Amino acid sequence: MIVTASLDALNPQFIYDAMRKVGTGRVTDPQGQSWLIEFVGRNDDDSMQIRVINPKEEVRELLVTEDDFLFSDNKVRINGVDDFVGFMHPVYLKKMRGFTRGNIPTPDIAGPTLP
Amino acid sequence: MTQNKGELLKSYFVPNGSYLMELSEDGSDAEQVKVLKAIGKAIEQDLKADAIIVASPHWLPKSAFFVDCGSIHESFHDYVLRPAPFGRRFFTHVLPGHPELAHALIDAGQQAGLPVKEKTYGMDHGAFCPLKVMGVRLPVVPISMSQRTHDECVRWGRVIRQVVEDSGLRVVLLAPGNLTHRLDLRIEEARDDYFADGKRFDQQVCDLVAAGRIRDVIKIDPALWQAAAPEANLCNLSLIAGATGDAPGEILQYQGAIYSVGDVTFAFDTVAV
Repeated sequence: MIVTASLDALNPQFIYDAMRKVGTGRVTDPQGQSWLIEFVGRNDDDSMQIRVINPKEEVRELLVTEDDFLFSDNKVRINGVDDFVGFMHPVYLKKMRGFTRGNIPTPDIAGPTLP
Repeated sequence: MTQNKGELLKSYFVPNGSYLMELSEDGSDAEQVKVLKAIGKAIEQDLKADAIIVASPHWLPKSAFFVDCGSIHESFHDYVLRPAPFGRRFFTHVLPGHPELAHALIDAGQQAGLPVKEKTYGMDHGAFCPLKVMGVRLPVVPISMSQRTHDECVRWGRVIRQVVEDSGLRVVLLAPGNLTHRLDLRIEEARDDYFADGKRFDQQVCDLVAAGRIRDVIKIDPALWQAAAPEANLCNLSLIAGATGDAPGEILQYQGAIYSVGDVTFAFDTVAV
């Protein structure tokens, strides 16, 4: 198993783009390949539209709640994406977990409004 | 809880930018930092508070106001980490919780017909940055600011006050935020100028708050409001209006910072309603 343990400030594993209103997690699977989890919308009931993009750039679009995310100290799974398990640095994993629970981070890409 | 009459001792609207932790750690004498430290000292030594309720402007769910009932609250990172000399350093913070007060808030909010629910969350920098700079070690109850209406925020503030008064506890409400909050226009190097719409907006808010007219803040010209893009849509001020009984705010410091961020600190007493 590969665990991305270094905290690399130049390559953040979760960012918020306030221009697009999209949060993006960059996750590494056990084979060392990158997946993207894009949070593209939050609904009035706090459910979220997400896009899961696998290493072959195949896209799955899902409607999820925070309860569909299964976080451990350095690993995340998503209900409905059975072939996915991904590792992140704990700092960014907690940032993404916070985002699923309603956090709006200081944007990495600033826009004229927040969220 | 105890049988003594509880009291909402003070409410504060304070800046929460992650840079404040760096300034504090570096021993800066910036006015924002000095005022936060003075507030922390006052909360612990003069007001002798039992607990702090903190409403983060970065906790913005839509469906409800959320309350974290945990017995301990750990921070999580939610600002931009960039290499020095441009970036913010990584900070953490841990504070005890106050589950009894937290559950009382949820019960009372629901009884008042408001959407109030429990959620395990911790502290984002909107909560832990000012608390860390203040240096307080008191139990805290993190609550969300949420993307709810101003009217609901006022009502939620009233509920918070009632719960505190029924609790027998001496409590401070902390609702951090910035006035103008145009992070897309910010300029990091020190300079004296500040963008014109932001200056006008900040001045109007400060005048209304000082006059005890917080709830008139939402009547500010919508075009100016849009240009200033205040943090959390200034629902944090509406929360304070409800909790304090529309008390006037004392301006403890104001900085038009990094060209486009209005860093103000208001202190509010609690007035009879």
